[in-house]
Amino acid sequence: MNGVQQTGASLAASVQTPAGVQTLTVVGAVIVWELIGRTGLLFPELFPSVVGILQSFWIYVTTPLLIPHLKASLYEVGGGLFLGALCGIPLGVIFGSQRSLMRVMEPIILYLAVVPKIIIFPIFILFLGIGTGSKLAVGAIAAFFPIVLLTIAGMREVKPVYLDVARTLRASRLQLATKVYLPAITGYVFTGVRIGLGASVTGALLAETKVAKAGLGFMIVEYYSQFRMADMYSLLLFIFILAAVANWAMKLVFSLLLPLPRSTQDAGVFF
Amino acid sequence: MLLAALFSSPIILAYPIFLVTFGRTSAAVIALSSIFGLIPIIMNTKSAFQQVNPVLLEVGASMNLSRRQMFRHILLPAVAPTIFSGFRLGLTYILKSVLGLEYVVQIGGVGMWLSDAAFRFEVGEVYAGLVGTILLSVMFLYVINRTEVLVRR
Repeated sequence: MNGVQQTGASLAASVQTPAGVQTLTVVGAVIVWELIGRTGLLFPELFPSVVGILQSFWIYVTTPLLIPHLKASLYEVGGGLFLGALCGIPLGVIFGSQRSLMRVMEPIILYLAVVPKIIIFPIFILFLGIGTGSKLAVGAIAAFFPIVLLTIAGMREVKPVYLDVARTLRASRLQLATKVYLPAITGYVFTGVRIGLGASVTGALLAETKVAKAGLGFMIVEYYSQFRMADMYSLLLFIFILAAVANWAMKLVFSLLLPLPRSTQDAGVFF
Repeated sequence: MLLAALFSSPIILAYPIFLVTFGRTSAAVIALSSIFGLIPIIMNTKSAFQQVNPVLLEVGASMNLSRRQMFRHILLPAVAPTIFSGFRLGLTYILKSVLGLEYVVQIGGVGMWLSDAAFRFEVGEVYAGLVGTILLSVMFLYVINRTEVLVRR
């Protein structure tokens, strides 16, 4: 009797940890979903059973069905992120290092960052065609803004006092760059690249749903137009898991590269 | 944690689900965009209440404030800045998802206008739409800022 109570208590204790509550929330949501799907209580076509979703998810993982689409999407997202970082980091450093330039450029970039990048997509279609190039461009533009804004934020973190100290110590320009600016902005740049990844995924895949020949976003709309709901849900699940894994991997790599974590705003200023 | 995970995933790709549920109406756009706005606002409100300085609450208690007074004069001014920056953040996401959705699925609004203009290659109209979007965001930001001033007084 006592043993049962103890296991009950330890079970309750393990459930009350954040991980336990999270697991329970997810399990609860799945159960409610399955009940709605089984009973057909509400929009029977909209809530296919969890088993069906997992079955089609298993097909995605085990068969080469998605490989060409995955390749196209990875190329667009990765290329977009690379281009965005290639332009965003140097521009952020230039804007951030000159106060007057920053005062001119920052509001412009801030207001442009609010505009959804997808609306420039038609122009890219005209330039680059409906292949992967135009989506890569959308991904690059989307990734550019968080990266440049966070690089500027990092440059602003360098207080004038630091520069004065470095000058008093007769630091050369190279030393100024590597010893003062670099440590200050690295954390911000990493955060910017991580947020830029999310923005690039959203931009490129959303563009794929509009006009495309291949890609994960393209497949979502294919399934939607054929009303294959279970396949669509499992593909969404697949994309979410992929994005979460990429985000987590980036966090891990950056925390290894940067042993001293600086407190940077994690939620992300502009997706 | 779950919210943060949801936040970093490209939720906007789930728009076909909302189209099927609500039909091709602005209700679908509102439903999906509200999820976007919800997450930063929840996260900011949570951290706002976590960060209230306990000294302020003790001062209030020592002045024998009632619960109402405590809320109005101590808690509300203390949490307002963070909550309102949550609103501003939420506005950014909502604006993006609304325009993006209008553009992709062609449901009325500035997004569809922009899509049409770009399709006809009316570059002037496209830029006008961009400026319009920016004005829209400035307008909403102004309203939020005015409300913040009112609340914090």
